[in-house]
Amino acid sequence: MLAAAFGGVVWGIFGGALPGISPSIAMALLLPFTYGMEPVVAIVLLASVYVGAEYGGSIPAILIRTPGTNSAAATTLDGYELARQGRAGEALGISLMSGLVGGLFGLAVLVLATEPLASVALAFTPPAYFGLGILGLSVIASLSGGSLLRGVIGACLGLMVATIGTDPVSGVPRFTFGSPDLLGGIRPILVMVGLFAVAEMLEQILLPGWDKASARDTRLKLPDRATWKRLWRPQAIGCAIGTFEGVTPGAGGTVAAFMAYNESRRWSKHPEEYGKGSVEGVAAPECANNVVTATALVPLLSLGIPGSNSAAILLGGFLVHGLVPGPMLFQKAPDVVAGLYAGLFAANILMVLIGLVILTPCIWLVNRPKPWLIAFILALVCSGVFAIEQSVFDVGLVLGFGVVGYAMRRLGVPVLPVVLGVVLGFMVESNYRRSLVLSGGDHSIFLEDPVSLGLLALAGAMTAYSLLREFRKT
Amino acid sequence: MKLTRDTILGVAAVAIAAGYWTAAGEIQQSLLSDAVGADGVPRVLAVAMGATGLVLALRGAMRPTAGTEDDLPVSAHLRAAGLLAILALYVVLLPLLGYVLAIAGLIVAVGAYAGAPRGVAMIATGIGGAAVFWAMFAWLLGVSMPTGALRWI
Repeated sequence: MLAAAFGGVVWGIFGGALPGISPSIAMALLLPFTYGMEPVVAIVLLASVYVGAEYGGSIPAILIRTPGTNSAAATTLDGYELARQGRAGEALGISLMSGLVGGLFGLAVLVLATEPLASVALAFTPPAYFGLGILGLSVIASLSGGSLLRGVIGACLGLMVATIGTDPVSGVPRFTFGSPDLLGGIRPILVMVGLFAVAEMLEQILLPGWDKASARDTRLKLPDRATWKRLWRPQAIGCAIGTFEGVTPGAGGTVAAFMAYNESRRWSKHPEEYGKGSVEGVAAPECANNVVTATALVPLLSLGIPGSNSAAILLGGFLVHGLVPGPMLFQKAPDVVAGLYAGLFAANILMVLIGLVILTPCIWLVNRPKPWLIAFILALVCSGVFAIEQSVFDVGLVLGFGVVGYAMRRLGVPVLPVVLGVVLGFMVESNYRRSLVLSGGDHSIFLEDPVSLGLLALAGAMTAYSLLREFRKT
Repeated sequence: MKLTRDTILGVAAVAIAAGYWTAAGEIQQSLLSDAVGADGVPRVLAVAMGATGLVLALRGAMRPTAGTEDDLPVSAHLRAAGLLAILALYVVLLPLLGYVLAIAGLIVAVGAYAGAPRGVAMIATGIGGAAVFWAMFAWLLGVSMPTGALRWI
């Protein structure tokens, strides 16, 4: 079982670090190999890939501004800024240890609170999901980099991209212009890779001085005591938000990471450092998305509801071995559940040990002469994007988003609202319209559902607070 | 008069919103459609973006010095466009040449364009890089990469 955890984490980190290979793809690639394994070994292997991949996504996010996974997008903000300041080793160390804290906290929640938290998943109706999406969008006001109007334009752009594809209710094609490649919509990772990585390379090519990057850290640097003192608060916020988002099917690590980033800035003693290379800005999202790797299993294990693509692949792993997740799993296969818990614990510890070995060479890699760094990053991006669906169209799409990202930088439009719009657009629209179908077009359904009402009220309060702060600044 | 970033962005946002609104009008109506319709949310987004763009454009016109202007020379944008052209060429050549040749060409071309010293080492880096990427994606991950001109492999 330990070997399965080790192999899973190594494979997961490798897959997660490659742009385009999502945790679910990394897991799906291994699924056929699990047929001949013992059930507990197979489940541990798949769960360990999930843990490793969610962590692995942060490595390119920090080093080359390319989120390897959707949930690593928030880490690019301060992680890459730290790397640009020559503090890549420090950023990677904080990300690694925050990932460990998040992973172990999430595991504790999974072990101790699966039963009570399962009721949270059941409380989520379409109006509640709409409220959750609006709550996620409410952080746009504070992620707009000081220009709310530009942030709103960015968010609208992201939401517009999310409407491309097949309509979630009626099934008619929208904004596909006759292209079958667009019928399935545009994957958020394509938008992120274009806006972050390709735009960054288009920017880097303008800069003179094509020598080796000047890094102060050439080795991984784990946080010292003084840094830990600064990290406990963002980590605590990441743990709380990651727990809530994880047990909510469909929310996922991306929203958790962005919300944790936003809330940690709100409660930080150094909010001015955020976006300019804040260690707290790395810790909060990394902690949150690693909590989600464990808490996302709560609805799967207790109710049989796969709340994410990765959980769906894990569900597949259970089913091929004749195990049906749900309340009866704990009675019928307690050994598998216990083995999964032990495997997740081992995976989190192994994630740190493997990270200690591989991260210094990763820093070395990105300190190569810049012309080659640019060439290899673009080759990696083009290869990774093609690998998702073997689609040349997707590579062209990413280049298109690279141009959009370049133009946005020139015009001062913040990237994060676009990303949030793309990630949350489908969730918000589909649940808004499903709710209205349920209520016969009556909008009061959003106020009658207590979860929806609570989430919308929270979103309103957060937006009002951010707006007030913006106006005070100006 | 020099246009500010606010004005340019505002006008661009209004133009995008207008185009999006027009495209939303061409969405076919389904018998399964709900009260909002497939074009309902897009139209709301178009109005939101258009209105925000208008406010931004007006702000730019009234406060022409607002914001930090980005004064890159045209040559800088052309340099970025050159890199983009190499990438676009890769997209075109990928199905024809196959993954190995195309990615080796991309590495060499981008490296040369970015200022790497030219010579045998450059070619070797391109070939070596292509071999590493092929090993990672085609061999290890089992991704079916285009073989193109190297179909016989």
